[in-house]
Amino acid sequence: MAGGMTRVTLEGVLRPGQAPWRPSPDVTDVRVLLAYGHPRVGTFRIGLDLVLFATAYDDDDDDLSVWAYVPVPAELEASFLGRRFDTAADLSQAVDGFFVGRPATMALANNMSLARWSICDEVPAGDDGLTKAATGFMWSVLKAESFDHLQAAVKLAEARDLVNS
Amino acid sequence: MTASGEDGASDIEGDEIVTQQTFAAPTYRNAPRWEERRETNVSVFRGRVSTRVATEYIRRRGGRRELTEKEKSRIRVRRLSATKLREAGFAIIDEPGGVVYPEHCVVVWPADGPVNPLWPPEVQAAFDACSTGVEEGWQEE
Repeated sequence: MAGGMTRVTLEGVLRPGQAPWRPSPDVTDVRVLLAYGHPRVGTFRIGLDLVLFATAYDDDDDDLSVWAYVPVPAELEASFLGRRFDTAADLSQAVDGFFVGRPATMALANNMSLARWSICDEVPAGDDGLTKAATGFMWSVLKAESFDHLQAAVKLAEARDLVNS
Repeated sequence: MTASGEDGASDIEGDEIVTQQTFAAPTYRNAPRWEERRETNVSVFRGRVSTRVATEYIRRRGGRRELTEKEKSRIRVRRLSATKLREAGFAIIDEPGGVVYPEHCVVVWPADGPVNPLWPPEVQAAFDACSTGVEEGWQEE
């Protein structure tokens, strides 16, 4: 059923190593709404479901970028499909506003290759809601990385103790 | 993908001018960043687009942060000749997406055959040589 995508299925769609604007081999009908060098805002389909994607953080000097994905209900597809906006600012306002208050999948890409992702339960309100969601997501990534490193350090220390004993 | 474009895109015909923006004047990008950012083309805008409008388009995210004076001093646009680009073997594909203005286009190489994102040094030099020499710096409103 179109527009019936659940959070779980969207999170399960993304594949590591894929380009953020084509996050799975199963993606079809990629339509770019804004590009500069590479796509930055657009839509794609998973089956019949339409998904809106947008950069939440992207700096030309940074290898890392953060991307946001949100399913578009079938009755709202016309908000983006075939739409033309007078300016990039108008487009950004509509796109960023669509994310607000909705659960979104936030993803980290390294050199435009998807690395890891998680669900943001609700994109905060305000013009900078997507930026706040990206910041929260990156904090969770940092914490997870730190925990992984801590666990690895403990295992290494244990292994050394075993060798030395 | 070939340089004939997708989704109804078409080459820019005639002796038009296209605009290229940089955040790092006097340097402008003269090749896609395939390795770092999976780019297969170089983005430009159709016509004579102001530095401010081009920059606001590119800064979709972070656009609400005020630019510093140092950043502004390094932002510039240059004009490129569409005729020179075509004569040098490039194709200019109209890819406006969902934005009416400025009108986004991409420069791809070669014009005939599959698009190659790895531009050799001589192709990069040829791209730079398509500049008309006209530049514009940041101007306050």
